[in-house]
Amino acid sequence: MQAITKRLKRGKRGISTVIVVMLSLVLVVIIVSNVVLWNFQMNQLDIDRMQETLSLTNVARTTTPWLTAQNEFSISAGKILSGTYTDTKVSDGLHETFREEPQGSEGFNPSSYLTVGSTSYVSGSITNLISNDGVYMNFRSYSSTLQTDAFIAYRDNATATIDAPKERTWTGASTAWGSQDDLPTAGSPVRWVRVAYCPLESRSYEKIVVTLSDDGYLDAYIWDGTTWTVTNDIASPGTTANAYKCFDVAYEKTSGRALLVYSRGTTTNEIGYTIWTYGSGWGSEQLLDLPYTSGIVRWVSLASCPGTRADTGDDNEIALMYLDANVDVYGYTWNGSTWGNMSATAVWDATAAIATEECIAVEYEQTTGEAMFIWADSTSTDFYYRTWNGAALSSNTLLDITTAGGVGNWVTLKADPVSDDLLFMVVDAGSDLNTAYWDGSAWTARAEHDATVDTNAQRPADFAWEPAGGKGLLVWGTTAGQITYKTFTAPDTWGPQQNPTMGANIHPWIQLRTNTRSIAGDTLILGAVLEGTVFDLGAIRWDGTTFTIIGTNTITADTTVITYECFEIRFRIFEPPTQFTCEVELSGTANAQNWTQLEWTADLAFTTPNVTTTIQLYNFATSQYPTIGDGYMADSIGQTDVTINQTITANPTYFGDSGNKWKIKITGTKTDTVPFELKIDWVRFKVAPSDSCRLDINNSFIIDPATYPRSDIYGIEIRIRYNVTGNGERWFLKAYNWAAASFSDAGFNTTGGSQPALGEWNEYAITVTAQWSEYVNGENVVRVEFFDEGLNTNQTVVGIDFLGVRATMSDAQVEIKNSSPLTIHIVAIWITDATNHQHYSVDLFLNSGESAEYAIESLPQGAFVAKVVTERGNTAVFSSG
Amino acid sequence: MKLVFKRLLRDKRAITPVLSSLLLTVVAVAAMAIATSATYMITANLKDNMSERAIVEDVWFKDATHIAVYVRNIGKVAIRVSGVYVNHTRVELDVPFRLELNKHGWLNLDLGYAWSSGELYYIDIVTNRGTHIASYYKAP
Repeated sequence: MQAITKRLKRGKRGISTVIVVMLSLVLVVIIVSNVVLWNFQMNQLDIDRMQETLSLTNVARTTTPWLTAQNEFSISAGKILSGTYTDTKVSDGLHETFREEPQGSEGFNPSSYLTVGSTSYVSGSITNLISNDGVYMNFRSYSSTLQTDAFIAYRDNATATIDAPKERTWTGASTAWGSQDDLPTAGSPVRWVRVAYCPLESRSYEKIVVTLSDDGYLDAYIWDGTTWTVTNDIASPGTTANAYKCFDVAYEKTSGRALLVYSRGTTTNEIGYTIWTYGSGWGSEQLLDLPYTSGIVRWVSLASCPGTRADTGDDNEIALMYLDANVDVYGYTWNGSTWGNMSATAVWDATAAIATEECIAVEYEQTTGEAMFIWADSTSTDFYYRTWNGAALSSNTLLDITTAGGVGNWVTLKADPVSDDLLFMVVDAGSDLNTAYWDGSAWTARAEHDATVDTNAQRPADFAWEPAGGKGLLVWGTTAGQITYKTFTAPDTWGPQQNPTMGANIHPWIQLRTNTRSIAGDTLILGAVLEGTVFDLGAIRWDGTTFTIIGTNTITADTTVITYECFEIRFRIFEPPTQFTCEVELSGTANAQNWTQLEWTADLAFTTPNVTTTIQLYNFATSQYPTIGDGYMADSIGQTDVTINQTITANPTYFGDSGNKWKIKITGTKTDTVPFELKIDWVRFKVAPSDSCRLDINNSFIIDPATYPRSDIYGIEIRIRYNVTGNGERWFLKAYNWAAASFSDAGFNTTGGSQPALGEWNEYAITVTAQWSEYVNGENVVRVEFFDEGLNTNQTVVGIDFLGVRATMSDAQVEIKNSSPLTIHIVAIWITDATNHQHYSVDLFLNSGESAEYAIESLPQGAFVAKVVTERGNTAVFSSG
Repeated sequence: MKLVFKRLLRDKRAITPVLSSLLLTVVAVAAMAIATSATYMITANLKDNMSERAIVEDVWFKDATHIAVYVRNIGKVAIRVSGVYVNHTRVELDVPFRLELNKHGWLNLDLGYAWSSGELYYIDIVTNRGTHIASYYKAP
């Protein structure tokens, strides 16, 4: 050391060199240390950043605790079996049990309809009556002018001459025959009379009388509403054929033309016919040569087709049947312009029973529009018939009436006005009276009514249906001084034989006619009875209950003969419209419960103002529609829909039959000259209890307004935990809408209900946000309803383990977890959605492994993304989905 | 000490070496001062470059032609954005964008054309020190 010191002392450059070296070293150290230090610091920052691990575990609005029932549940349907409301406070398996009960009401709508009277269907279907939606089922009214008039034309010698036919009018309203009117003379004593009424409503007054007189001429009379116009000697059957009713007159149903068909008394071109056309009168004689028969035609019978077949070819069809002097039977159909033989190329029967009596008849079934031709054969008890359906004529088919006492002398065939039923009546050569019933497809002969009628040389019997169908009246003469009758109800029910006194002699001609209109309170059947010996033409009447002999000579006391059926009655088809009525009967089936209450409702209108309307619910206990009290409602209804209903609590079961069927009749009547339409919108038959078992409970839940002010509420959540013993139906939660004053689930996230699994606890929750304020009242009360779908007819037992309500508040909690070994510093939270990116500055430290919740003011309504940012620049993201 | 001082006064050669030594010392000190200043300058720039850190917290595709980028300075020095490139195309800034330490804010970009929903956009933010903050962002 001493040596070094000495050397330094001797060295002249030693100090400065050392200083320079030292300073250089200091600079180098400074530079390097700076670089190393800052590099270390930033690397440390990056390493720390890499080690930072955090996660956003949840971002959700804050909620209140679950608020549970504070009182027992209110029960609208069903009952409590066990437990109390306290068992519904916690999800612990301890539960309150309820059971569905059959209660409530159930509505039913009509499944079928029936037009009453002459009401006609217009449009709509029965399904339109299910709801009150302005979609209607329409029906058109008919002229319901009370009571129907009729008239009779006849031979009489009391006034004018016997050459002039007479006429009387039956006034339905007064149920009396009017005074006798003389028609213009026929030029010869009248023998046979046939009449017809126009089938067109526009010419409902128009009627025709055709007479055949001693001189062998036909005379035709037309009533134009004011006067009788006669066409004398319009045709000549001759003085041989005039011994028989060898002519007939009938209207074409649609055209309103009349067809007069008659025997020409010849053996070629045997039949003549002429057509009466409104406005132009009778046409010239037309000839019909009969290729398969050659005798003089003796008996002619016509029948007008109802026009009910599918096509329009039958609109003006008229069936013709004749019997000639050779006992040949044959028939034609008139289609409005030509005659057709129905492809029958041979005589139908060359051995009919008798040529001197009218043993043929033809009539149409009124619904199918098929024609029935029937006649008596020469073999006793044998009758044959053929049917024509517009396309084919059936072959001769035997109807054997075994009780007949001989061949059929006189037959009549009458059609039920509302069905395909027919009734065939025959007076045979043994003076037996028999009938047979046709149900639309087959004949059934009935046991004989009488074996000794007054005569078989004339027709001392007749039958007529009641206009409503299904029932009829058989009248005949069997004892001098009496008239005999029986009532008939299809298919084979005959009332006891009644024998009221009428005159003093036999009754060789009896004629019955059915009222063409079915009007309540009207005469159903009118009859004329010609008494032998005194030649009195009397009148009878049937009103459905009472058989009335109006008088033994009411029509005339002086026909002078009994040889001919010198009279005929016809009801007017249309009355001059002064009143219209629309009647519809609607029927349906309700449930099989023992009804304790029923409510029946109809919503309807008319196409005209002020229609007197009655709505009646059929009382099956009294077998009638009520006219007062329960089951009867009346109103004046116009063109605006009116809903009328009635609640019945006394004996509601009377209004359903054993099959729970019910029926409602709606009747609208108005005095008017034009028809109107009934528009039915809605018909409901509602009964209690319902067939289905129901449970419907509710309770109130209070959100403490002091802790959770209404202004901070964002939404409501309702949750239930329950189990059921019956499946097949859903269960629903609803909340009480305080503004609408009813339970509702409008605005809730789901309204489809819960389909529970059997034998296990089922969770079901619903929430509402945008409309929550409608379900929370000013005291923060939420009322919750829990109920079933109402499909089960078995009683389901329901256990409720938990039912609670909680409010979702506007603010939200962000849950952050620090999984790194470092303490992290959260400096920002982002909440972004489609429309906004909300940034929150945060100053939150989280130690290693810690979790924390951070409150933010609000969350977006829809989907959002939350993001937290640390001071070191790391982020964690949460997506609300 | 008296002895040293007397020796210096008696020594005829004493002034020159002293002056020489003093002059040399002054020169050395001056040189070192210059070196020290240069060192400071060099290390300060190096430090700033090494301390610059920033992240993009959020990218908001706003109206049709605008994108907002939220930038946070997590480094040790203030940063100044010198340029922004969207899909490698420079986007001019209306105002200079500078973030002090621990500061953050929106950097608003006017693309001049409409962005397309579902498309990827590469956004590159460049500081004046040359630091790039770049990534792809999908338009909503």
